[in-house]
Amino acid sequence: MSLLIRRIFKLLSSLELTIICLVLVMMLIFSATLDQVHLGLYGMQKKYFEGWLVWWPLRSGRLIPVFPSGLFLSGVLLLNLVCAHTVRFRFQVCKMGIWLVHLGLIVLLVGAGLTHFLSTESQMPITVSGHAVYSEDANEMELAIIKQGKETDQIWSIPKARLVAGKILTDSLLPFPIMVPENFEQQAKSWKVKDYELVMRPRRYYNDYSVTLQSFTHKQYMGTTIPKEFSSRVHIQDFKTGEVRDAVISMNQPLRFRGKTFYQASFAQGDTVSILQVVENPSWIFPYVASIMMALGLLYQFAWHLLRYLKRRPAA
Amino acid sequence: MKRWVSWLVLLVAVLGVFYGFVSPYKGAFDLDGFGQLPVLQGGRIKPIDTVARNALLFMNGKQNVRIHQEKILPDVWLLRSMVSPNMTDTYPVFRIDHPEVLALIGHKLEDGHAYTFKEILPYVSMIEQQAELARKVESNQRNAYQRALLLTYQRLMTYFQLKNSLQVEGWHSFDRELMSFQSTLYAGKPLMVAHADPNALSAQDKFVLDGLLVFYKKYQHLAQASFFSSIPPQQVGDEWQSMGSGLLGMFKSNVLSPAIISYAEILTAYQDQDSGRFNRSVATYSEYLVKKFPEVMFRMKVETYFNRVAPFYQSLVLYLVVLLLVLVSWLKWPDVLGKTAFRLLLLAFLIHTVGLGLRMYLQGRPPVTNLYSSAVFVGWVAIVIGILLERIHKKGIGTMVSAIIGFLTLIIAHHLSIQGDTLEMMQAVLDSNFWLSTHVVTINMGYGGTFLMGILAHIYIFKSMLSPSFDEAERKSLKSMVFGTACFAIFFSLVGTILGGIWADQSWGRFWGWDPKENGALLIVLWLAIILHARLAGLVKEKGLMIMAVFANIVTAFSWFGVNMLGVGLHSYGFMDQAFFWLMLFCFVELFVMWLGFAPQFFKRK
Repeated sequence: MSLLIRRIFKLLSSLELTIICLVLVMMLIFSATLDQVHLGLYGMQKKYFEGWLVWWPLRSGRLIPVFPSGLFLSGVLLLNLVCAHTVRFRFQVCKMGIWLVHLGLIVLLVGAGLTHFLSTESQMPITVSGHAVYSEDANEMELAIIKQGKETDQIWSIPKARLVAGKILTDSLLPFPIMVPENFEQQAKSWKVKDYELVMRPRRYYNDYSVTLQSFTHKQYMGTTIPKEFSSRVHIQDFKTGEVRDAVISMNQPLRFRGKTFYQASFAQGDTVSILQVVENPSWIFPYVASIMMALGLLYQFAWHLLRYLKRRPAA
Repeated sequence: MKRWVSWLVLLVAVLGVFYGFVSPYKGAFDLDGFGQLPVLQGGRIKPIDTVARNALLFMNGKQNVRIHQEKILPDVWLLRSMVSPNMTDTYPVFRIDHPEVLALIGHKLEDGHAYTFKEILPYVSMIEQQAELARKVESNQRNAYQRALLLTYQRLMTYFQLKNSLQVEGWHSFDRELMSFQSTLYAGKPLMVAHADPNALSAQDKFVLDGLLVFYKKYQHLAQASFFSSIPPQQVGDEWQSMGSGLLGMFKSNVLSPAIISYAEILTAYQDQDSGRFNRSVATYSEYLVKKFPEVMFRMKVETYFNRVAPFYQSLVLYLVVLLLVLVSWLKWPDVLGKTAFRLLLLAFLIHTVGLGLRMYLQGRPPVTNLYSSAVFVGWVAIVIGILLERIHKKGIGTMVSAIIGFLTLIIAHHLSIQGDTLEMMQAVLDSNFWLSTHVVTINMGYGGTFLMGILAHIYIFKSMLSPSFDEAERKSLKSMVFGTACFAIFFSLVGTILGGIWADQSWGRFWGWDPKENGALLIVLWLAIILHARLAGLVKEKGLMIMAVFANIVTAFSWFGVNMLGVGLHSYGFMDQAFFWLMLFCFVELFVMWLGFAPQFFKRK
């Protein structure tokens, strides 16, 4: 038994596994990059990186797994790295750089995983002199149950992933149990039930502050159509703290406010609508830490190699 | 004797470089002065010389026109196209390579490469219609025919606009035109203001106003057609204007811009072949500009010299000479020729560096701003390492790889330059000198290091195949060079990729967005990591290391150019067509070299 465990450990910590994984990652990224032309960025990410396996549709419509996916491979690499460092590696001064690089990689992979599970991305289109209190994620739908009140509305929302056809949703927080009909996706987008309105809509993230677009600037280099600058001047009113402030959001100059970051993403309707990208990523610090560790590690290791090489050379 | 040869070669090379400074314009007209006049085109203030050269390059792939035995230089061509379009309409400047586009204008591929405007003229409206259809297709879904057709159409448009940039093409005398416009304006302006009611006008007044209307329409046409803006701002806060808008502006104000007067004189003098007057007007206008915009005019001077000397072309030729010298040195006079080659390499590198520095000055940007400049910079980085390697190992190998990579990257740059102005403006997303000088520069240093490593591996493979004198010591030194450059390359590729991630996080809130270019960079890092792990773990031996190093070239080429051909993502700033063929060819050649690496030696050492 212990022999078997030792064998498994040996396999998991082996360098051959590392190389095989790295080669597989390369193949995966290469095909994903080519496939992006057909699938688009979002579809490509879903297919190649977010699941455990890459699925291939047969002509009959059935899906078969053909390749380990990004999540799977990075998981194995992470395991491999941790095992290698517990089993094989000894800490030496001359290998401190390698330790640092590998540790950085672990931080990077863990951070990527956390980002995958914790971060949200959504868009906030605002018309000039209009305002917005929520942002929408067009890639994810939700079922919203709205009860209009005199002053305020009451809203319950259920992510589409939780709606399984034929199932009954019961939750003490919901105003009533909901039976999800078969092929509800083909049905109408909104229903009316007594005082309640039910809508399928892009998933919304509400803020307890409002963002007002005061103006939007879109400049081009003279005599060309090359964009020179996009920027939105916004006014923020915080309902909770009463804080009021103005900010300018432009390309490469995002606004950070209460854990969310607002980026100038796009514009529409003849420059009268500015579209902001809203990102909430509590694990944003990981890649920064990882980068510094990896860069320092490589620098240490190669400087060490170089010095040794130069020292040895005149003697040879 | 041998030492003399070395210095003689260097002397010839230096003289050749200085010869580049000599003006190509002979004759009485001060075309250098004319070429230095500033205009605004493509969002950038540039000398007319640059406009003329880039236009010819864009239409024909060459910077001058050859007709019969005469070589027509760009500024002459530009002046003639405005003053006597009948002449330039018969110059073969429209390059058309696509057989179906050629069929449209009734030619076959074997007829030649470049066509005259006169030959194409009967088919212009048809080309326009076809182009309109092609434009409706989304740009990344157009087929080769549609792209070729649109390109032809754009070339025709460029020519038409150029002809109508300073005056309406074929005006016999801009001078007289201006005078008659001024006198009509003088008579007509009070009428325009005084009489809102057209019925109250006398026949004479009506005649004057009709005359003014004709001028108005003409100048409106000129304002719409012009390729560049030639009238500098008169006051702070004003913008550059085209000749047409400048003339239209006179309907409002009475002040005549010195630019209009000067260009009228210059063009009329050129038409009359009056070199005295031409030179005087160019000089007067230049003096006025130097007083008003000293910094701009200095930049114009630098840029015209940069155009003329063509430093990257010069170093391209020198790198080729270096390469030949190294090859010969392996057969004969190894010491002297090796040293000569190295000195010549230093000279070529110096010119390369000066060229790079001048580009940075002209653009006010870090060295890499587009695919073209990245080719120039990648070569430069690789040569820095090559020179260092030569200093350490002294076998001519460093010189040789430097020459090879310098030659190849500058050839690539030359072909990329045909697409137009290589000092183009930066898109808003990329408009950040901080990230351009950190992320973009480090990534390109990674490319440079990887290519250098790949070429070193080629030398190892070829030497072990062909050279009977390839001994253990040389093997070892090549191995350490490959290993060293791999370390250099992975460091810069990784740091560059990470910096790209940080830029993305700062700009879009996403550290990693699976953009094709990011993926490409990551592929390089991964492959280099695989090489280093395989080597350090002893999974591959010397030969395996070399074969893997050659494959790194394919990975880098995909990441550098291949992903741009996909036409998706944030980095698709340099979309290329014909380049796809060359990329594929490159990959096949590299695969073949890898196979050679596996193959047993042809010459067994005894």
